[in-house]
Formats: sequence, structure tokens, C-alpha cells
Amino acid sequence: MEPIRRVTVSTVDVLKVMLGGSDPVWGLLIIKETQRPAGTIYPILERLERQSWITSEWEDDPARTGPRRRLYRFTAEGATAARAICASYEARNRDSAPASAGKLATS
Amino acid sequence: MTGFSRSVLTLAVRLSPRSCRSARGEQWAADLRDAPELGMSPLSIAFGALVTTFQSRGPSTAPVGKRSRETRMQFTHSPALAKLAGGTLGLVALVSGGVALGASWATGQVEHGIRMVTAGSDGPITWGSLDSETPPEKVDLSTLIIAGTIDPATGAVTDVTPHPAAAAR
Repeated sequence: MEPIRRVTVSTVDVLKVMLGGSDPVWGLLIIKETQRPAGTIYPILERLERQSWITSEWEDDPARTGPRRRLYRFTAEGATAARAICASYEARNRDSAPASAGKLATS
Repeated sequence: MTGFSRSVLTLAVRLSPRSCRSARGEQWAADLRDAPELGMSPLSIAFGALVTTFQSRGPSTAPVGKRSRETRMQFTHSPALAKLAGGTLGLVALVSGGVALGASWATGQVEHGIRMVTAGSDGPITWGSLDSETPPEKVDLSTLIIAGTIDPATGAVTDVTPHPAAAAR
């Protein structure tokens, strides 16, 4: 597995959606859940797969005819790395968040 | 699935690299078909596919990881292309060097010729242009004596007392 050189917010969103469940996730559902354009999500999925963070497979649903859906799941290493990235991202957001307004106790 | 969305998707698939055309085509067609089921616009999926295609084909997309190594290996494993590139570069360098040397030699010859025009004559060396028909007039400044000045406005001539050293000659 190769490290991600540039972790964007969109990438973090994709990782979060995929970490949300244990089953393989449909690509279109990731687009829907992240609320980001398909032109942003498709390249991220392709890059993650190229770097062995995720794998993909065709949906095997005999009830559905026509073109098959593509389902994505993490590799074992990918899931671990994704959790680390999401945790790091959350921690950084907490650190950079503005302090809540309050009174300073001096005595 | 609208006809326009389908056309855009077909274009995106056709412009995709041959190696992933089939998989992309089926995946995107399924997403286009099922987009209304999730309350999404098929056209947004089609344009997303097109954007993905352009991103993957564009020169700004630097290959990463395995693809990067494959690209380097492809270039390394193409000796004919490497020889052609090397030969072309060598030829360009040779021609450029020849032109530079020739220009330098020609410039030297011209300067030498200019010096030869006046160096053998009596008096000081003067510089002239080879383009002029007549050789430049030689002026020996060591024997020049200023006799006076002319006011350009009035044309009045005023005599100047020669320097004692010049007057003694």
C-alpha cells in the first residue's frame, strides 16, 4: 500500500463514509453521502484503489439486470491507515477551532 | 436516463484509457441508471464521469506510485526512442556549436581586417567601417592645434592662444 501524498477534505470524507460500515460501499452511495460532485469522488476512488487502500468488485445481484454496480471496500492496511488519517484530521480541526467565548477566572 | 446524459457518458467512456474503458463504462452506466433512485441527477453523474476522464488524461495529473514506476520503466525499456532522442540532441548541440564557432571566427576576421586597414599606415591607428566606400580620414591628435572657437549661434570666431608647447613646435 502506498501512502497518500495529498490528503484533501474530500478524501477524508470518502474515507469516513467507507469507514462507516463493514459492508462494501457502492460508489454512487459515496457520492450521495459525501454530497460532493461525482467528478471529485470518482478520481479519489480510482486513486485509492490504485494505491491499494481499497479494492472494488462487481455487485452480484441476479435480480438486477443491465450494467452492474461497483462496490468498494477497504484493504486491511487501508482501513487502519484511513482510521489514522481521519483521527488526525479530527484532532487538527479541534486544535484549530476557535476557543469558545467565556469569562476568564482570575481568582 | 436522458439521452443527453447518455451521450455525455458515452463520450467520457470513449475518451478514457483503453485499459479501464470497459470497467468505467459499466460502472458509470449503472450509476447513471440508478441516480434517480438516490435522488440524484443523471446529468451530474455523466459530467462527473467526463471530469474524471479529463483528469486522468490530462498532463497535470502526475502518475503516482506504481503507475509512476511503470512510466519510467516504459521509457527506460525503449532503446530505440532513447537513441533517437539522444541523437537528435547531439545533432542540435553539434550544429549550434558549429554556428557559434563560425560566427566567432567571422567576427575575428572582420576585426582583424579593420585593423589591417589602418595599422600599416603612418600616424595613429584609426577605426573605420568596412562598409564605407572611402577609408576614414586620419587625424593625428598629437599635432592638432586649436586656433580658435566658433560660436554656433552667431558664427563669431574667437582666436585662442595656443598652448606654449604647441606654439614651440
